[in-house]
Amino acid sequence: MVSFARNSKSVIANWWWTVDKTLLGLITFLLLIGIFLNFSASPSVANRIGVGSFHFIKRQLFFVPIAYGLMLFLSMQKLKTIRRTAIVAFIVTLGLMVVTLFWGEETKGASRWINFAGFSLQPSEFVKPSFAVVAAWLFEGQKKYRDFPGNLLSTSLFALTAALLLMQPDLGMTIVVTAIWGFQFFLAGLSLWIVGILAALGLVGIVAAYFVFPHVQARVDQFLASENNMGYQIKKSLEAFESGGFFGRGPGEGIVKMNIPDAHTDFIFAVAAEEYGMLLCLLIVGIYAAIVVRTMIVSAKDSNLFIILSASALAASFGLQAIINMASSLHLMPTKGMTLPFISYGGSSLLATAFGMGMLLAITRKNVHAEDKDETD
Amino acid sequence: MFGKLFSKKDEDFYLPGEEIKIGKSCSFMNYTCAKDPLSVCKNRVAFSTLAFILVYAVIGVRLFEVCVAPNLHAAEQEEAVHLRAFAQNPIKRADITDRNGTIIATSLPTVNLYANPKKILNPERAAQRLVKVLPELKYNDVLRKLSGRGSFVYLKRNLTPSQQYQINYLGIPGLEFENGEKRIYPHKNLFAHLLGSTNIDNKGIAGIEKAENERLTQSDIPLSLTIDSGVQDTIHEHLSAAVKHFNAIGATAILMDVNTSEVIALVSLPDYDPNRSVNPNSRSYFNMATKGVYEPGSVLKIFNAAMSLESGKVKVSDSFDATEPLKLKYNVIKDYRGENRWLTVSEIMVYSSNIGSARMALKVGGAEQRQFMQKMGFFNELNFEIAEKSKPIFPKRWGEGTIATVAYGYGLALTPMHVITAFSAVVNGGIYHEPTLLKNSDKKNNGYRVLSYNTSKQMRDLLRLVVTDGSGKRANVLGYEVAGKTGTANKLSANGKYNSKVVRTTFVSTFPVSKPQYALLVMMDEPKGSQETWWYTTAGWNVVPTAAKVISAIAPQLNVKANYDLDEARQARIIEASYTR
Repeated sequence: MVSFARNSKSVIANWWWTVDKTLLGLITFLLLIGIFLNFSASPSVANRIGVGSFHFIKRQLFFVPIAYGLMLFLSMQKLKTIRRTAIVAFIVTLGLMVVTLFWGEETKGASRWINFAGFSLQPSEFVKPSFAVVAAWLFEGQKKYRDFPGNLLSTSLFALTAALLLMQPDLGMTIVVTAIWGFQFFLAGLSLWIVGILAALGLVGIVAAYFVFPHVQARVDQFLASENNMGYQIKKSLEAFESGGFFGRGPGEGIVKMNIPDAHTDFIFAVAAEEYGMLLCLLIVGIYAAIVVRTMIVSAKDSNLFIILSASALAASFGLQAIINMASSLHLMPTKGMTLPFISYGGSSLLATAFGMGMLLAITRKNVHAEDKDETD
Repeated sequence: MFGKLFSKKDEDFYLPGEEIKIGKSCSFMNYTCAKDPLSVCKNRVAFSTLAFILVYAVIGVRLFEVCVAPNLHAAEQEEAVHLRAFAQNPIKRADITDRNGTIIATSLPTVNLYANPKKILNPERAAQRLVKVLPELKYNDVLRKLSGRGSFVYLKRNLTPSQQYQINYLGIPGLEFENGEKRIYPHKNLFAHLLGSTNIDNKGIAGIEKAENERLTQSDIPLSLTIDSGVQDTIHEHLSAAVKHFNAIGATAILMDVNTSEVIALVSLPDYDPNRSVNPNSRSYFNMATKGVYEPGSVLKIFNAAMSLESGKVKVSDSFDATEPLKLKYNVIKDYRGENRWLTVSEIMVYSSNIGSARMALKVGGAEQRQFMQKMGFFNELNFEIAEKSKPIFPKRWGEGTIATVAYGYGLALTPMHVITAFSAVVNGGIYHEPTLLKNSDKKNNGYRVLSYNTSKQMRDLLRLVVTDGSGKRANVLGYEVAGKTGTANKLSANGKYNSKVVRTTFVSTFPVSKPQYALLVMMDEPKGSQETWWYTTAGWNVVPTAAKVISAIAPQLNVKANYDLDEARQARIIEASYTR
């Protein structure tokens, strides 16, 4: 057990006594589960595409410490630094997204990736957490200074971001960003009438997407199809859940997982179910729920609107992404290519999630932001 | 851990320098509905948290639904299957035996190989290895099946124990065995049309297998037939030889116990091996004895005579004018090699006079004729234990022309089984029994009278005369007192006209006539003439000698007592005379 003197003035000691250790523990646990599940899920996919069995595991083991380090580093920063980091990250991300439109690497019908020094990076993954913090800052500004057009600015930024995402096109990410922005607006005290109108508009948007994007239409049609016509992925996914049962088949004993496409990313939850059963799945669901609830509780104890708005939005984006992934695997909604945060394989996803959770941990640190709060940016 | 999550350990404790938060009491643990922005925000955070918890709970419930619920059900089903497998005889289809207990159809336990493609890890490799052990399977077919989406696909049925061992030895997960059985017909072609066959799922698709499918699958006690394997084989052998000798396109023979209508033998040629699958459209699949309907020709004069005598309007001693063809409204009836004089009833039979028969029928009348045919079962499908049966074909309008033509066997098409069953009733003393193949059938106890004993007796004498003096001479097997009637029917050609060159010949007979025991029907389709037959194709030259060979071979087998009390010298002379013209 690490021990720090409570009166130590070092950054580390200060961090240790102020960070929310429950959240830190839950996140660390989730990362460990993710590493274990990658051992189960990725070798069959790696074999199928003809790289070595441990290709994805090696890469993941390379990225996890980097991501964890990034998260810890961010979590030690002051509130002001976090806010500035988010603004810079948001601007850079938007720029990169424009770049992907022209030089992006096209996979599965969408250009979302750019190659950068040997790694492919998905800028849109980073847009969620940075937008959440920037929007929180703008909403708080509106509340703080009557003449500051925070609501208008955040709405404009949202429109810009959503437009860029739709141009890729990445409908899933658009929905998540929309949900976060709407959620923050809702928390910031938007009149319930307007909330209702926005929700209706959102529904109209989803219906419109069905008719505008052929791939969305295909996914939704597949979801609504009968048991016999359901897509191959989802069929295999449900078979994996059934095969696992209550206790699972045991580590490495999975059979159906061999035939699930994207077993290491979008359908890793199904692999978890087949090898470790419903028990581990319930544990994972519980951890996500606990992270969301814990963040909400901790942030709501504070009286700073920025803290509440940014922390709960970061948690909501994290929790929502988990919900979309798990619900897709369970055939509760149309399949949407979205990773299970901290568990699915993927460098971009891992770093972006770590980026968001690092900011979350920094924001939810207790009693250290007094000096930041009174400052004016 | 979760308890700690919700604990409020630092409620009233403030670190030095910490801001004293006024809104603290507004957190959702102490729910208040204040109107300031911060309280609104916190209330809404609380609401959102509950929404999140709800969604996660839904995911948890769904997890239970897809992980555990299907397995609960599956476990029950598996157990049920398991129990049933132990409680049952592995063979599900009963054997079939002949009347002496000889097995003529049985089942062997086998295993069927199937795959569960869900469990196949590497379809290509599995298919490669499987094809090595079972070379008759095609690699591409196997690969397609193993890569399929279902969880059950048959790969090969009826494996030998050695093949099963070899496949087990491959150790490919996802390949599984199912107990099955294979129907075996040890006598191959011999009982083809009688027994029929079963399909790949062991369900009867023809013959007794189809007609008695329910009985065969419900009880595992062997089904005993009235067939005698030895007699069947003898008849099969002689009939096959005759078909070859006379170059016929087909033939059928039925041997029946006249007193019970039990079928002792039934052969239809060409036939097939029911152990192999046969194209159902193939000619050899067709059962001439019970499915084919044919105009019997002169054979029907038996029933015409019996009807006339039974009516009382005609006596054996009566004579009918056959001096010239009988002109009716639509047709003219002629005789084949006619005597051109007045003929007695017995002469009409012996010379097979069409004119005489028609005049007898016209004297009796159509109503009585139809009534008689109805009694003889000529208007209905037989109640018989073979799936392949037919309803006779008969004219709807029963005018003068019909009365006359039916009298000598045209205009009414019957199955050979109809003919021999009615014939049995004519000669056995006048009792009609429905034909049967089942040894324990009730049908033999449920006969009904169609003729008086006296008429039956007169008919036996007339039929005996046909053999001693008429067209059936060559069937007069010494000692067995054969009596019968020939028929040579012209076949309808494609243009709907009768073709006198192409015939179907029939001989229906009984022996021994003094106390009839058996009836034999032999029919040949398109027998050809040869130098030996002086290019004749009438019944007397083909089916009659064939019947003679059959009777002399089977009568001893059937334990029929020979009666040599007749004037042997005379018999021998008659037979000799008939071969030297």
